[in-house]
Amino acid sequence: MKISREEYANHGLLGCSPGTIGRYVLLPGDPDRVPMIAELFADAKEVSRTREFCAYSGTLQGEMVSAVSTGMGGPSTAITVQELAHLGAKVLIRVGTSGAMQKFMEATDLVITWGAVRDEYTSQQYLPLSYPAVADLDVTLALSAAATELGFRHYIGITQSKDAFYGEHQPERMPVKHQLKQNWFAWRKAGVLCSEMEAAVLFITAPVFGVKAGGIMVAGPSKQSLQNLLKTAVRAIEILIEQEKGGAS
Amino acid sequence: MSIGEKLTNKMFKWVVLYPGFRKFVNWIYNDVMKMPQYHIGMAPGQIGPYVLLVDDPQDAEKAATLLDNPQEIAWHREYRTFTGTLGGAKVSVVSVGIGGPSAAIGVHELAAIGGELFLYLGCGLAAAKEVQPGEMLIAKGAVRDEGTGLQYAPLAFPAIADLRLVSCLRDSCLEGSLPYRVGLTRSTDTYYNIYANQYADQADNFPYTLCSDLNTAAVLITASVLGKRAGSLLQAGDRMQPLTMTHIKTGVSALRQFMAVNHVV
Repeated sequence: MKISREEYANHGLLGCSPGTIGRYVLLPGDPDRVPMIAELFADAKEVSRTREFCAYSGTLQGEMVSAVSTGMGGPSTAITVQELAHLGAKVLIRVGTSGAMQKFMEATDLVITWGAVRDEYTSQQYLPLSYPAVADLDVTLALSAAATELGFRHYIGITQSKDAFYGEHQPERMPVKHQLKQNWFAWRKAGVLCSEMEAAVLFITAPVFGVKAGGIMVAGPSKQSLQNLLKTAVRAIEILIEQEKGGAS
Repeated sequence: MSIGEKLTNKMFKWVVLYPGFRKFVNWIYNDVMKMPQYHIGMAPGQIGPYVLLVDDPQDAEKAATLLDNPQEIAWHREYRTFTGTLGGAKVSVVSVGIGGPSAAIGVHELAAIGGELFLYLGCGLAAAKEVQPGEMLIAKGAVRDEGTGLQYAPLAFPAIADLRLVSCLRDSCLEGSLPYRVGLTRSTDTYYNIYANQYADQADNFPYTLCSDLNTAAVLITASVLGKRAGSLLQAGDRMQPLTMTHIKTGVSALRQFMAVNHVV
């Protein structure tokens, strides 16, 4: 049955009704990656498809899990986090692509985000800039354990979250090109691993809405490593579910 | 004025005026001649790669008793250093004084002479209402309500601790079955500000933080920018007070666990 966009839109901007979203959610940026992730879930089905948001829910080890696209950038990510928290999500993991910033890295490397540079404005409407955008400890350790277990080369560290994609790729087009280049130099010198657009907003909004957040990216555009990335993230969720079940019994 | 003095004056002027020349002189002093660092008064080889940082020179002496063969290496200004070993690895305890400026100088100079991992032990002041006095507060990050870090990295850069070290700190709290929390601390520059209006200030202006302290953000930012690992273990209390033995032991056992799993050098 085809559901109209208007019917989806009855439930917030994401169009997900209560009870359709699991407690563990993977957040890619691109809506087309949501079906790719859903293939790794058991009995996955589409929950919503509207604007840049696409949501699928399925199960992993008997626990309901979801994949929801955030769209690019801070504003749509903040909307996604807020609505998902309202719908009962507890653990949000960003999965996506990024651009490597250090010479020792390769495009196929995975980067686990432990903290993010808040080079964007959305998160400043939630908490002051002095707050660090830092991931949840358990989620990050689970991601690290999953990447080690599957044997993928990965780095753990700080990533940069920016607002303007072309501020990084074509700074000379911008009136503030000197400032952009200066900041870029500063982040690289400070050891920032890669550049992307959503992690800082996710990490700052997470404590505000009482959810745990983590992030894992691939350092360059590579189809094979995107699969590796998704497998790692799914394995991390399985580890977290196992830990929770172990802790409860 | 003798020729030697004239030359020294000239050189001092060049060092102040020309950054390139200063870089050259720093290289000669630190890497070629291996001269002692300006404030901590120590040269490469006098400290270990693992460094415990405390506020108070007296606490440094106290913490050093937990090391094997501790020896007092230097005491200049607020920087008092003991070096010993833990399970065969060289470990130092250094006091860095109160506040970001002196902590940043300490970490910067220690990093220049071989410090690789910095664990700060301090007091968690004006703790949030749900935190009981005496609880261990593991700072995974710090709110940068201070000025020193700004001269190392822009405010958007996160002041965060090393992931593995945070994990080891949590394990050592679990091992000692101590009550603990993992979260954010707010690092500030004014002690009497937090002391005067502790509860109202912390809860109203700094939500989602566990406590306030004076050094964590500067230590984390400095270490992170210089490519070193750092962490911070605080104990909730209502004023600056000497570190308790439990607190220091927890820090030392976290270092032991870190050594067992991750080899820094």
